[in-house]
Amino acid sequence: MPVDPAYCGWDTTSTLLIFSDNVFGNFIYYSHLLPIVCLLFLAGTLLWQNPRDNAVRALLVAALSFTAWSLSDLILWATANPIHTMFFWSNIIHFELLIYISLLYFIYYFVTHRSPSWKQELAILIAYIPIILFAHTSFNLAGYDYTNCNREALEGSLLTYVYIFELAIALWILIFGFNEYRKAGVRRYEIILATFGAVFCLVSFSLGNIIGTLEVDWELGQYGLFSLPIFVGLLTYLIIRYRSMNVKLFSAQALVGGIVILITSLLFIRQIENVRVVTLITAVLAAVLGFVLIRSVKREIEQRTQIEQLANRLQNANKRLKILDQMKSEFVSIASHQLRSPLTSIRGYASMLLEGSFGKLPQKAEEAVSRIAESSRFMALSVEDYLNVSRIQSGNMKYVLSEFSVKDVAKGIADDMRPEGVKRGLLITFTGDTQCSCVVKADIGKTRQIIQNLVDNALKYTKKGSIEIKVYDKKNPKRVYVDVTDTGIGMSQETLESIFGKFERARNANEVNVTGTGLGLYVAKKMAEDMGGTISATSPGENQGSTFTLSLPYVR
Amino acid sequence: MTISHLIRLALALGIIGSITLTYYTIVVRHDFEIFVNPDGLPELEEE
Repeated sequence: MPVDPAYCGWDTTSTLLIFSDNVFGNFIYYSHLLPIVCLLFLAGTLLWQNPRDNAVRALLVAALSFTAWSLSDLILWATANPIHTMFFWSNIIHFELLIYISLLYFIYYFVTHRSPSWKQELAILIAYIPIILFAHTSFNLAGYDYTNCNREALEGSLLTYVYIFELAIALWILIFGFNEYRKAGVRRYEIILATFGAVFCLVSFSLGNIIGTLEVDWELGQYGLFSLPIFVGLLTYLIIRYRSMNVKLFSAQALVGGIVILITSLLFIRQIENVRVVTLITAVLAAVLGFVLIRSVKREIEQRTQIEQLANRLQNANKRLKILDQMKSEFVSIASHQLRSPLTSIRGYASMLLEGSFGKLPQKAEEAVSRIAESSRFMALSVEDYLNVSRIQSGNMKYVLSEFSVKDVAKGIADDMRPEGVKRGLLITFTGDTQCSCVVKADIGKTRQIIQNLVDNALKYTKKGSIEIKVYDKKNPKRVYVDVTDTGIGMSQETLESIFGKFERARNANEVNVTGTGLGLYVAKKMAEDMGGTISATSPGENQGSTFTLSLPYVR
Repeated sequence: MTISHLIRLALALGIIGSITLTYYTIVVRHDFEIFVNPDGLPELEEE
């Protein structure tokens, strides 16, 4: 081989084929390596987040093709070996065209989520065949130019075909983007930005190379390479803005990537070997720590996404439950109203039969009618409970507020219930604080209903002993209290916690053979709360009696 | 495998084949021309 590197003063000791003194100035490294890092970083990040997205895959192919192109070009700048120059210069056209073709695919996938049709792909393949056939021949590179010391090859006519191919693809992207822009609705802005970004990037890249070929001034071509980072920035914006990509994760990745790129770029500025080693170690450390940071951010985002999904599902389930509850309340309300009218007739006629309005009943018939009367009374109470629950849930419970003495109401109930107590062998006593006028502003009917319910319960759940009704007030807070204390079956701590719930009954309620809906205390509590009061229950334990306390804010 | 896949495979194989052929021609056989001046020496760039 007649080439003598020493004659031209070429550096024959290149590191990794790309680092040598033949590359004058750091600008060449920046123009080649920065776009590689940017594009690989973007494509890698996107692939990590969307491994099945075809647009991302196409972008990755473009990034890898550009990497191959850029490294080959750097080798051409660095090498003093004509074989290297000829080999890498011959292959550069493949990488160059692959960048164009993969960006065409990217735009297709990005805009329409489809690849070009197979006919279009076949057209690309046919157009590519001359390049496959002649890349290794003198049509591509006529030969190595040793008439000067520029370490260059002489390009053949195939290059003209390659440039036409490239500009045709850029034009194809432009026309495709324009057509899709006209058809698109909300994605117009997105399409136009992606299309113009890609065309700008490719045309700048081509122009750099074309000028290099025509003027034989390869330094000008370096500026075209900077269009790549601009395109990457544009794509990043588009992806974050329109593809609901996680900004937090991307920010962490961009931060780490930026730091690593900055540190690594110092390698090309500081020529001192020790500094290079330290810089390299720092870059590796930054990369490792950054990787850990990104993983933790990703994990946090995944957890947050899961929580959001669960919360959404819970919200939907809650909505459905509310609708079902509403429907159930309406059903109960309608059913209860329908039951109430015939029950009134049954109770009325049973009462008239027992009173002898239709003549004296035989002994056995009287017993039977008494049972009918008792059962219908219980049923009427149950229906009333259901109706009250329905009214409470639909917010239709009406309260007529007036001022009255709770003491009088409670005393009246004690007096009314005393005969029933005596019948069951229970003593009902009433104690009223003489110092207390015990006047409250509430619905007198509802208050009576609450106290009546508490005394009824005490009667039902007490086999022997006494029931005490006590009314008193406290200054702080200003409230009137009605205690109903019995010596009945009592309640465990567990029962106490749930006794005011809907359909809740004491665990040992069945031991005393008491029937009930489990709604009485629920309704009483809701009514008391609606009137600004409270109901609470205490019990030392099962079989040790219990105390129910109604409190209402007093007026005087 | 669709026609589309076949076309892409053909393109990929074509490029790999072309690069291999280039390697064989240039790196293995050194089959390329070197243009030199009549005196065999390159012109040195003027400073």
